[in-house]
Amino acid sequence: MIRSERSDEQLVDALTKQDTRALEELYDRYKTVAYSLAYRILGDRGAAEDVLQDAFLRLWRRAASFQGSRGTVRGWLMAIVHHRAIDMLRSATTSSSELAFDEVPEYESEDIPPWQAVWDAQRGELVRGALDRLPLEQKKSIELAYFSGYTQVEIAGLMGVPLGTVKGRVRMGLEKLKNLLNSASLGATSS
Amino acid sequence: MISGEHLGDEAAVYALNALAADDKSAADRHLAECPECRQTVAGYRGVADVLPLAAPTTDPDAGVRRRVMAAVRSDASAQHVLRKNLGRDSLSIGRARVPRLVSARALAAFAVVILAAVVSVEVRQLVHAQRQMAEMRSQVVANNQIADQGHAVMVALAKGKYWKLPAAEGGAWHGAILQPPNEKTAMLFGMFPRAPHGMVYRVWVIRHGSVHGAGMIHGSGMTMMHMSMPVQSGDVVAFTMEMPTNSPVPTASYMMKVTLD
Repeated sequence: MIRSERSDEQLVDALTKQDTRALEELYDRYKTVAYSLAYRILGDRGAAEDVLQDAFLRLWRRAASFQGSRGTVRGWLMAIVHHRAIDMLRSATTSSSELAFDEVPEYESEDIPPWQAVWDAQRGELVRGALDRLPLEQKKSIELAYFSGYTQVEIAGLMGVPLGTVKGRVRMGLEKLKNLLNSASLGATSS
Repeated sequence: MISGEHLGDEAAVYALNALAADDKSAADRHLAECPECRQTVAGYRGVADVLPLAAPTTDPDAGVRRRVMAAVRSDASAQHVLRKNLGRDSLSIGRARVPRLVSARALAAFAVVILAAVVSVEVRQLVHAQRQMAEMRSQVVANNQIADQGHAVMVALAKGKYWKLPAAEGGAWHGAILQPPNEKTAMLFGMFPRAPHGMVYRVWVIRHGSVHGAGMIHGSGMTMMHMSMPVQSGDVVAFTMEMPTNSPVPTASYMMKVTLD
């Protein structure tokens, strides 16, 4: 029997009705990309697994606060994983910053196809390719900020450049990345 | 940023969550008042959202799914019982507050006391049962983990390599490294001390003079970690206690070094 795929939004709606199967479906759909991000940031399997577990528990407990008009489920989950992993990296305190839903990126929802893994792998290649095409200092600034959890001030210190230079590099890098991804039909953003 | 000005380039840094706490607070205040900057940040966040895809693809262990679902089911069960109890409790109180016969006030008051006592006992019993249920679930999860560890030990002992780590000074803890032929290398500890607040233990493998990060030890007592690389005879396994960073080299001096036979 072929079971019809529920959309992310339908699954989150089911979470609010205490449907644990819905969380299993979301876990299977996003475990790889979420875990890969956490592992890329933390470089430690155990810590990345803790982040993954924590992120899905938060998704379960805070599903009612999700608003489809403000962003995607995937974007929300990735933001939770990123914040949690960076929190863990920046300090070992057990408390962590709660991510309110209004902190979620505001852009149009996209259809997540059922062949998520294949799609993600292809997109991953494109994103890595696009990052590699950025000038080295822009790429490095973005990676240090997003994947290594450094603040702009710390990046300026590490790279030995003024703070304004770091801001400019990050902005130019993201804008160029956006253009590269849009030209590759990845539709990085709607704004 | 200067108060009152637009975020400018800082909008991109904000979208990457790379502002220090003070700068972020200032940016948050500005964003609350400035739709133009909110729009700019949203655009950059759209780009940031695809960055996770740039991370090399790695799958979590199957055990994580079990842990997540066990925790969620326990949570769901607790919420169910809570809602049920709250419903009964408020119903009883509602009845008690609306006695229909004035002449029966004393009787009603007595009934309320009895009812409240009965409900209170019932609620306590239900909460107690729920706690027991949650403990049993945790125990099942813990047992599964122990079973997994036991399996790893047996496989390693049967087919793979095994190194016993000498007891640390004072004999406070002991450990072993197990390396099954086709599975990840595991390090097991008994009575491992908890790291001080804000610190973690990191494990390093020194091979031919080069230092490689091999993982962090998160647990304490009887615990286990998977090493991120296999080890071999001649390797030196070293431990540090340091701030949790992803530094590729130790940021503190070694607490202990063990050369593997």
